[in-house]
Amino acid sequence: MNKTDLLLQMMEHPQAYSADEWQQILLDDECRELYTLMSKTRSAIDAARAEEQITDQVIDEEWQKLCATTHQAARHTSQFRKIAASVIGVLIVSGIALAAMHIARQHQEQKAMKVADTTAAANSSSFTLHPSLTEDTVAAQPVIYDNIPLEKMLPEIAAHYDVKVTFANEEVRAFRFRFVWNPQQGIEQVVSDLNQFERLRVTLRDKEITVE
Amino acid sequence: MTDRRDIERLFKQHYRQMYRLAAMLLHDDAESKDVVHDVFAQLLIDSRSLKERLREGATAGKDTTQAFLLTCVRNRCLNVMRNRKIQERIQRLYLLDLETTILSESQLREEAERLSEGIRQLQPPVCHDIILWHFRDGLTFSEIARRLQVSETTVYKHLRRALESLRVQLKTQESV
Repeated sequence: MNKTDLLLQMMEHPQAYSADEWQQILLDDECRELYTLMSKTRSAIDAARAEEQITDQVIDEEWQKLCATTHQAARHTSQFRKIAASVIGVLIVSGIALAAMHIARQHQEQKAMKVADTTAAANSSSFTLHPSLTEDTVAAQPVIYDNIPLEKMLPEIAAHYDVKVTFANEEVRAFRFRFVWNPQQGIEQVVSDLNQFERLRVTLRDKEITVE
Repeated sequence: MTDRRDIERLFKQHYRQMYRLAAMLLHDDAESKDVVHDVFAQLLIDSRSLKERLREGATAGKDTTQAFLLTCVRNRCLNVMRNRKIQERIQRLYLLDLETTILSESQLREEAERLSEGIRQLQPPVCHDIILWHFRDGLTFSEIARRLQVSETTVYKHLRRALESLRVQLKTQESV
């Protein structure tokens, strides 16, 4: 049997052959060319089918589907955001409670006064949860990035200081962590804060941040 | 330019071409629709990359939106393809890695047009039928053999002959 017949036979049952066997046969120029030609023939048929079947009506329907799913997604995120906000609220309150208990133990006489102070302090430093990624607004208050990939987070921060961001390797783009950004701080401080994370090395040079 | 209505306009203007590119790479109707859907869903959530591109296009004095949208489609398709094992890629008749990355959308489209023309002119009729039954209707070689009441080896022979004339068609017109 010639090798192209073997290739065709193998293509009838791709799962019956190991990855190695596939690599092997596709190393052969003639087989590779035949396979590629078959793939392109299929593409030609797909392209012709697309011309025929993708009518204006289909496009309208697909647009309606997109609208339906994105509306739903937006609703889910806003619900999630509400939940997240209330969780943070609970955390802040329990933080206050813990602080209050601690203070209470140490300064029993001043108890009432201190609790009032702490509560006031906590209220004034209330954080805003990062308002998704849709707006370009620059917040003057601290922004909490919670589990947001670095490739989303950093360009936003950098834009505020009008500096460029370069990722020296691909893995760092996807890093997620919790980071609180205070726009009132200088960029140097932000870079130094980011460098507290073990896996990151951030350098600032000539209006450009490089992340490794 | 982030307005939903603007995105709707882009959707209606570029959908067909985006879908066609996805279909040429993935060979699957539902998956191709998903890919285009996801590209626009992402743009509705975050259109900054699009805005950036439009700004660049405006300074360069030409519309780069289409190229941008097609690149988004290609990247998503490549992700889909790379996540599959080689056997699955062969089963779906994906292009081999290198070609997919190198060929531009316009090259792929030109080749597709030439091949479509080649398929129309295939002779004898049995070659034409085999190509359509296998690549359009998804019949396996053994099913085609049964339909024609010939051996599978005979089907291979016709198929190779058909593909050979398609190859020649692709080559000669390329050099013209």
